[in-house]
Amino acid sequence: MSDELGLTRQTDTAPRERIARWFFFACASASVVVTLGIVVVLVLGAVDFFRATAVPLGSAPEQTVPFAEYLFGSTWSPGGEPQSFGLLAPLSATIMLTIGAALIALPLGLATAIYLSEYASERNRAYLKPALEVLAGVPTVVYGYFALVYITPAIDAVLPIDLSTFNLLSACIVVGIMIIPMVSSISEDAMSAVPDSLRQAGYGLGATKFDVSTSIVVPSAVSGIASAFILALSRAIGETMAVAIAAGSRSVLQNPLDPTAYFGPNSPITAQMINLALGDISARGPAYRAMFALGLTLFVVTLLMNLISDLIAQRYREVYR
Amino acid sequence: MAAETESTQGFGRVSRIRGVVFRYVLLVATLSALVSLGVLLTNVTFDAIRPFSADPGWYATYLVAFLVPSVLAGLYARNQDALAVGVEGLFVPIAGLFGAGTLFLLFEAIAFHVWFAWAAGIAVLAAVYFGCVRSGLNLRARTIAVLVAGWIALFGVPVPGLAEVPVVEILALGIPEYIQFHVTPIPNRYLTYLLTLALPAAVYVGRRVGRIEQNRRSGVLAGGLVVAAALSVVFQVMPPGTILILVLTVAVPTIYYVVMTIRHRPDVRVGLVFPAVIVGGALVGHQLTGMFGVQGPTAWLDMAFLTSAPTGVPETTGLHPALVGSLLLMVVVIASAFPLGVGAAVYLEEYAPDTWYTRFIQLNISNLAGVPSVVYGLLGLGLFIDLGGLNGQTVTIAGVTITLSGLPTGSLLAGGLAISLLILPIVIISSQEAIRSVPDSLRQASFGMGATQWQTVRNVVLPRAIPGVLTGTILAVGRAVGETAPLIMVLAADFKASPPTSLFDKTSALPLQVYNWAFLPDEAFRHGVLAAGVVTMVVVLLSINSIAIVVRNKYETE
Repeated sequence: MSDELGLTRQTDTAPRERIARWFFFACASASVVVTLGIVVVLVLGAVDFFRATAVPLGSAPEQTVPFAEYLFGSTWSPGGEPQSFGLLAPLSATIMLTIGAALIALPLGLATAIYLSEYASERNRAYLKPALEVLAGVPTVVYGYFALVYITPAIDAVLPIDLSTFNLLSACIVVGIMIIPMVSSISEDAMSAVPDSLRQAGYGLGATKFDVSTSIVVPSAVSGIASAFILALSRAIGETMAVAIAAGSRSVLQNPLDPTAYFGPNSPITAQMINLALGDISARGPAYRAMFALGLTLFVVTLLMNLISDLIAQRYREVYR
Repeated sequence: MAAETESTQGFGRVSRIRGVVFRYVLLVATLSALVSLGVLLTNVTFDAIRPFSADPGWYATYLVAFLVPSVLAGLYARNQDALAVGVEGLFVPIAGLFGAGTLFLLFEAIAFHVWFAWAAGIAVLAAVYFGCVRSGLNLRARTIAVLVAGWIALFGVPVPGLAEVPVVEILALGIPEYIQFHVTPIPNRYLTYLLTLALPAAVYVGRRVGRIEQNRRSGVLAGGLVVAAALSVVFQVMPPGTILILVLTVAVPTIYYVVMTIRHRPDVRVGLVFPAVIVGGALVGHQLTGMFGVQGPTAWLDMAFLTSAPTGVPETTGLHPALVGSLLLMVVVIASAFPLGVGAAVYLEEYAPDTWYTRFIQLNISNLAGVPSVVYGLLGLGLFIDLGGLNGQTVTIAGVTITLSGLPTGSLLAGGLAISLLILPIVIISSQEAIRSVPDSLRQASFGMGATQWQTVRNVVLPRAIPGVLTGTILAVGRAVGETAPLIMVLAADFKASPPTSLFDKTSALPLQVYNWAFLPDEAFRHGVLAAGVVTMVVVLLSINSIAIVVRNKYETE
């Protein structure tokens, strides 16, 4: 007994064991530090952006932006005179991008998921799944180039619409293509998790494969599909380079439900951040701090969406276990 | 009852059309995105290579000299296994060429005398470590000895007055600095590569051959042959350093593969005809087109494009600095994200108790994976460069006043660290999956034999999990190559047109270069240079991903 105790104590507290344990613990905690770093950096920058600083006599008054003006302002012109930072303009572009990308990715991704889960043979699935992952693996800057150089001229040539060189439509198309694998892989996981007994019951009642797929499998997997949709949309909101290249650098407040608005340039939040970074930020002026305000907005929105998606996904996992 | 009959009016009539249409709609939807990506990639490749600009005679020559013999050889080797060996045999020299290209780029950024000096310092450190292990010191003494000796060997101790004493100054400066600045007959490029690359390669090949043949003498012979090949390149026309790298990366693996296949797999050795014919055909085709004077395609993507700096003129521009920059960024990314990611995965899978903190870390990691890449750029900008607003301020700690200074704007290190934080969650999650797939029975057996937790992790879990860990990490690095937004934030897009020379130097990168070209209105840029840049990037990505596949397949079969 005493031997056993001695052995346990020795192995648990041997310096090598302790060093290893603390090393691995530090590595795991690094991820928490990264999150803290993100939050601190974004909040500090944003607070600087909003805070009315006391300006010493004689120096030029430093411009700050009231919180309400940022949140409800409708003009975005960081380089203009006077500067104005109204979130609504880039936000409207982000909403438009999300709607456009959703119109492409959600139906296609859902159809892909149904095909992979219900119709594809084992062999086809083995080819199709990695091929679909390639869609998400192509660098986004390459997608931006595709949109600018190939897709925009192609649409311009085919459709009788007045499309500008930089436009949201082509950006929506490439972002939609990019997030298809996200929709399809998570939805397919949810559909594969639907127990076979439900399908068998459907067939036993004389249902066709179409009926089983659309009225049994999809409704049973609906929470997983919803979680996939939200996650994919959060990815579309955070998508940067393709949009920064294809959608121009100007942000204006537009009605997202107006189809003609998509034919012109309108730059979403992420692309605006890139614009600000490319401008002169060495002075660390309002334009520099505006990046952090935008970044904080983006971070909060995507984090909320990811959390909601997580919550929904966890609920469906419990149902079938 | 009536209501029920109403709702089942279609009973008895099953429409097959609806099901068939639905099935094909699904198939079309699945393929549409893939097909459109395929069309776009084909377009960009055509723009980059311009195959129609070639002389028809050029195609005819290659058809006769290259394509027809290759197809015939493929048909001759018919047997599936033999053909597989043939394809593998073709893959080895091609992979070797890629490796050679990578080494060339790397040695362009790291001057050979710096490389030699650091290699020497690390060799001394390794010698100290193995000396301590041999002499049987206990852990604490060993750790202290290695740390102290390592610090002195690599960085030196700044004792005043010591640096003036002729030989002892090595202690003050550290070996790398001493060799760089005080050893006048610094070995030339060739000797450096011979000592630091050829010798380890010879030892590795020798041991491997000795193990496979179960015969020490053939091992020594193989190692000796590698050294002999490395020595023989002095008599060539090209600079011996360049040839040496080519010999080590292309010739040695190819010869090793051919010899081993012929000796040990007699049933499929006929497959080797296939790569031989392809390589021979390509060489003959090259000779013939030169002889007939037929022009190949005037591609935008050619050697000149890969080896020259951006100039602003479409015909002469290139992305050489971007290639070097991307390679060095990846070195920084791997060096920082790999240990951190694997360590975190080991903790979460092997050590972590089921507490709120563990669950919090897990939730945190999965949410970090969903944070937009541009936010990581802000993190890099705000943390590494501005130190959260503390950059340039002075603090006094215990009477010592120091001025805080972040990394220089646009530095290689800041960009690399920002990207490594971006891929950290991916590395952690894939490593966790790899570690989780190690069967629990192995752990139990290890514990049952009295092994401690750390011994189990080191000897049982990690060796089994490492293929999956490596595959996941390589795929994450592939993603890192294409990341642009954090780099724009951190590097502020004013990158230089020459390769970086230190960790704190400004750098360019492939995606940055492509982004910068995207806005030039010139048609030659849009449909030429830019396409060539995009194709280069896609090829780099594909080769990184194929490394991952090769690693996975190699370990799966072993």
